[in-house]
Amino acid sequence: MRPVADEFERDLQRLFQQAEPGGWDADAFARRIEARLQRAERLRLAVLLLAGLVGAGLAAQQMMNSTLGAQLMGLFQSAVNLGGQAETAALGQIDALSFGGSSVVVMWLLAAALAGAAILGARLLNES
Amino acid sequence: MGQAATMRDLTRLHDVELAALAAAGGRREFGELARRHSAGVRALLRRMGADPATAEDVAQDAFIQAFQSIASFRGEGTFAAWVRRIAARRYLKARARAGALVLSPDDAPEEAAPEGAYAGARLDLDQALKGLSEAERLCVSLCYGAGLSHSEVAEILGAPLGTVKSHVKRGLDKLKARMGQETSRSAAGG
Repeated sequence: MRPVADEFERDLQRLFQQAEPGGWDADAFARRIEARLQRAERLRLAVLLLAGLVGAGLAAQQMMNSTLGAQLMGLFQSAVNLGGQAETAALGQIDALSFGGSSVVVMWLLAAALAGAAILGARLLNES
Repeated sequence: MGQAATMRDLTRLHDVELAALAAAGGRREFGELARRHSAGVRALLRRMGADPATAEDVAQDAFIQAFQSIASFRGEGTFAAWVRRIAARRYLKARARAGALVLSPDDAPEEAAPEGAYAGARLDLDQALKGLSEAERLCVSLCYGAGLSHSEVAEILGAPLGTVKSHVKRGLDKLKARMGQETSRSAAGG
């Protein structure tokens, strides 16, 4: 390659490194980038929180499904042993568990939501 | 780590230090990198043919992508060159998606550079680039502005290597001719 070409290409590279003349608000650009990164971080946290809630809900449901039968059997056994009013009371508890299943899940979901909200709040406070 | 750095004057830190802090989640440190290099990235995009709004959008997207993959920046090259390459690739992809990227052979007559006329004068690169065809402008900008090799440009543009080389050569010859004329006029006038 000719020396003049080398010199020209070097100068061309140097010229390309120079910004355009004229007004360019680099500070404003940087602020926009930081704001976008912050929004992305918040969105990521929100998605994680939602995923956590869904996961907690599913876990609670699974737990209810897997242990409810055993719990009912245990309660039934104790009810038979106690007899009389105790039996009636135990059966009432079974009713409450059977028909109140959805309310137990809601309780678990609420607990998970509260825990998630507490974690999110702590993160936001920490960031600010 | 990131919080400690905010206590320092970020402007005194080297790009590599800022990148390391940004890799640990430091948004403010990355903001400083964006402040330093956004003008250069935007200038490259404008020289590649992007309008101001597109240049701004692509530059923003490029910096966001750079933040997301900052861990892969190992400081082997400069941060400026790294983020310029990201921006150039994003711009080309956006144009390709819009169907606006067609790198066809240019039949325009070559503009011969006056022998020995170029003497390293400062001239308006942006003005000189306007005299190039779109393909020449893209290829020259990618090679000399984004620091890509001919092969990389050919791969990104999906064009034969020979076509890219000829566009680069033709573009360089045109620029040299224009810069040479500018130099001659400056010398005669000065």
